[in-house]
Amino acid sequence: MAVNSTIDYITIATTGNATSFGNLNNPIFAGGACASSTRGLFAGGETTGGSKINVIDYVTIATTGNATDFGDMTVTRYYAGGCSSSTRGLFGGGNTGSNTNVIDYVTIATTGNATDFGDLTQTRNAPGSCSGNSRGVWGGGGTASAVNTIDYVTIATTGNATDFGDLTVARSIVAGTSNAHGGLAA
Amino acid sequence: MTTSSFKTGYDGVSFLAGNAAYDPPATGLFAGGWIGSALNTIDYITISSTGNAIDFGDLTEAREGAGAGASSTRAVFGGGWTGSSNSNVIDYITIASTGNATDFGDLTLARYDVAGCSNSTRAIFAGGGT
Repeated sequence: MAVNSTIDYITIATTGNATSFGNLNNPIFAGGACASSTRGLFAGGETTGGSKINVIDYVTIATTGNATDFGDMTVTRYYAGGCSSSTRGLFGGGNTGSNTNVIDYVTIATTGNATDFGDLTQTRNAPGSCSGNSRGVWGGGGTASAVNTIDYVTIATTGNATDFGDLTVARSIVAGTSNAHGGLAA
Repeated sequence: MTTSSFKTGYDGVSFLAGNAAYDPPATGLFAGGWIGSALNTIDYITISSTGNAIDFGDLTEAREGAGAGASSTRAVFGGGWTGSSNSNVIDYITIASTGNATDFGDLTLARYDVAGCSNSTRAIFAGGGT
């Protein structure tokens, strides 16, 4: 298996093939991601040789170029789910060598290390994640088996997640997004 | 599944004392995944409420580990693992209407477990295994 640092982009309102944007600071797979209207953040992952990392990179979405170091998550992990408001980025769950329920947050407009936010209702890796401007949501993921759990937090506070409901099908390694995430806020 | 409109107006409007805070209508989407084989299922939720997810439609290709991004109207899902090969497929859906995904184009490199995010105009797909 090879691990890549490739960053691509597309213009959402069109159709067509992706264009090269630049490179992450580390080749990774299974990173978490979130965005404000100006910055995209990429956190954690597994890099070459099987090592998990806690590194957070960022890019300026409107430009192209290589990623810049933002800081570190509180735990080294891959398969965290990232979501955001216009100001805060959250990374929840994942696998540190064992599954974790840790949620971290960062202030997207700055740089620096992440701070503990609280815990998901369940330790799990590879949930899908999405957000409105006030709520962050994680759905699905893997424990000993795939789960259908959906959790949410209020992004502007800190604290543990609350049960939201269930996915239609239990599953892990889910893609999540929304029409009101932090990248869309003015 | 057939396409139908499920969102006709705003929801999730809240007002805080002394500060009219507006929480825009927010539809959360969960696409694909893995349960021993790759799934093409897309679910949606209304983020401002609670409750179980509802079937939205299907990706063009069953896969786990796609990256995702969205504008206020369109969601895109790129890359993943089909269970037998890495994918470079980018799909899109129109968020206001349920229905199956449509082909958007291809990533520069087929890969799985991609990190995705976006602002209102650009979606970015980063990293991944090959």
